[in-house]
Amino acid sequence: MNPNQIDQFPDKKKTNFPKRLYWTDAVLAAILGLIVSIMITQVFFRYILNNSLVWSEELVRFLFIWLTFLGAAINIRDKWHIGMDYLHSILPNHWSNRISRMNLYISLLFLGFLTIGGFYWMALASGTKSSVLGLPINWILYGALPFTSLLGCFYTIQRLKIKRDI
Amino acid sequence: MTFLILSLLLLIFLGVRIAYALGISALLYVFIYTEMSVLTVIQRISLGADSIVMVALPFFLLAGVLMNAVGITDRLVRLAMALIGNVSGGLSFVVILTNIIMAAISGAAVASGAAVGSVMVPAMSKAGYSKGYSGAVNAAAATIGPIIPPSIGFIIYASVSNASIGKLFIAGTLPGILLGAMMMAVSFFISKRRNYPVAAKRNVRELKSSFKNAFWALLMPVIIIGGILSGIVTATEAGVVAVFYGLTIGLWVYKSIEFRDLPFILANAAKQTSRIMIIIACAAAFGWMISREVDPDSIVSGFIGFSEQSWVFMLLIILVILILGMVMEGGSIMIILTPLLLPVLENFGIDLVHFGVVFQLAIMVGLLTPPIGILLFVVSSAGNVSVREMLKEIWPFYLVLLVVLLLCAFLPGISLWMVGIME
Repeated sequence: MNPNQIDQFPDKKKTNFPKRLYWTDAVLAAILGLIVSIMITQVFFRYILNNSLVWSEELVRFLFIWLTFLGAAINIRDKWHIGMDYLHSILPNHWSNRISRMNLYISLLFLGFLTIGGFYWMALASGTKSSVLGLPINWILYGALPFTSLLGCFYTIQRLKIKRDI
Repeated sequence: MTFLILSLLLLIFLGVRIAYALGISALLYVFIYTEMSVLTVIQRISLGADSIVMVALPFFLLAGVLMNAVGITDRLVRLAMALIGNVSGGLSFVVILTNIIMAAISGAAVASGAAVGSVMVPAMSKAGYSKGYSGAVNAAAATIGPIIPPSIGFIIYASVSNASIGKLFIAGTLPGILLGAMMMAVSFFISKRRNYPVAAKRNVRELKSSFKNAFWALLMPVIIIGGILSGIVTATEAGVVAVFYGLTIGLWVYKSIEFRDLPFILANAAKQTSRIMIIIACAAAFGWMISREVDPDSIVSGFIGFSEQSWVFMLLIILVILILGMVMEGGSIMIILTPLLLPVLENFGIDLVHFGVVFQLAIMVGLLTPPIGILLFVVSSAGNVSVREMLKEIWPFYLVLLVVLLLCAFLPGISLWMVGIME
């Protein structure tokens, strides 16, 4: 089996949790932890206290955006993005490796665009406030993409440095 | 349109990750063919991730991770073993029954496939079942996971089609049970013909003790399914309750996880969430370009030009999904294809919920077909059995899946009947 295909099989064993947690994973876990806590509180308020929270939905939405993009950067490091590896399973190894490297360069260009364009867009969109909490939209909504794409660039370059991997 | 689709297919075929392939195609399209600012792509991708419907996703993924980490799976397997281990082909029934119960906790096939497979494949081959057959039953039974609610596939489908998650969940129940029942029938005949061994006689004491052992674990699917089917809570809230319950019994009742395990569990579920969400976000940008470019009427007239019969359309689309399912991950097919099909569905008067069930069943076949067939590889590595051996034994289960798929496609009542009752 081509090493590329390992991307696709998340739960190899029952406990496939990584051996160690990088700080980025810790931040990611904290974001999901926050979402879980807020939602539990919200359900508690709604069904037990009959008193719906107004701020929870907006906060969860914004946390969820950060979770999506930060997780995407981390999944580059862990080679966990979903993709089609059919071509790589039929090609000889050195060709498959070449194409994989090319794909990483293509992704790197795109991530670079997301970073630079994202910061530019953040600057353009400044001033708008979210409707319930009054948080700056450009930071909490549009900010997620450029910051995490920068991290994604970093992880992609790290993978490109390794000669035989990918 | 042609450019968008061709560049997407080329990039995906080369092996660029699907999310980035979608984003890059959209970006190139904006850059080459329109006067718009390229920043539109950035804005659309950001807004694509802003979806309160999809917040249900991490909760059901987390429930799946917790289910295995807390040890709910092992307890359920033991209970099912004591319950029906002693009939002919009993161990296959244990696998299928456990998967049905676990399907009511987790929304994905992979989690239960790996967990049950790692226990049951060795147990079955030790009892004298052929290894290939044991693996095949485990992989096939795991497909029940995504059709019985909760289901990740339905959450994705709901977010791209605007169908109600609650209704989709209810609609998936009966097809899921039908699928389980037919798999049991098939495995009964195979076991009977091959004279597979019958486990020792039913032991009342073991039954009692395994029931006591699994009681709190058994309550988890009851709470989730009960909450969803009764309509007391929304789908997302059912996920929240499931996670809360799973954490509670894991931390304080079974004491099988500790607080310091939580970051690992959360990070794992968050990464799984992101794998799907990043595709949805980038598909939002891609879909926006498509909808800007393509008149929905032209897609409809394209199909009608081919045939005006809705059943021809249905067969055709099933065929397309089955073929795509062999080379592409199911959720991504749903995200890319559904928006294009919506106008056609409306034109033919096909119910969105009904179509969602058919779509989900069709992509489930792809979980079992090489070279992608995730379940084959998961069970193969969890149960230490080669994919080749499994493939020799799996064809009866393909047949079951296809029969259920066609039944659901042409008898909408199977999926919509319960939805009607609940209303």
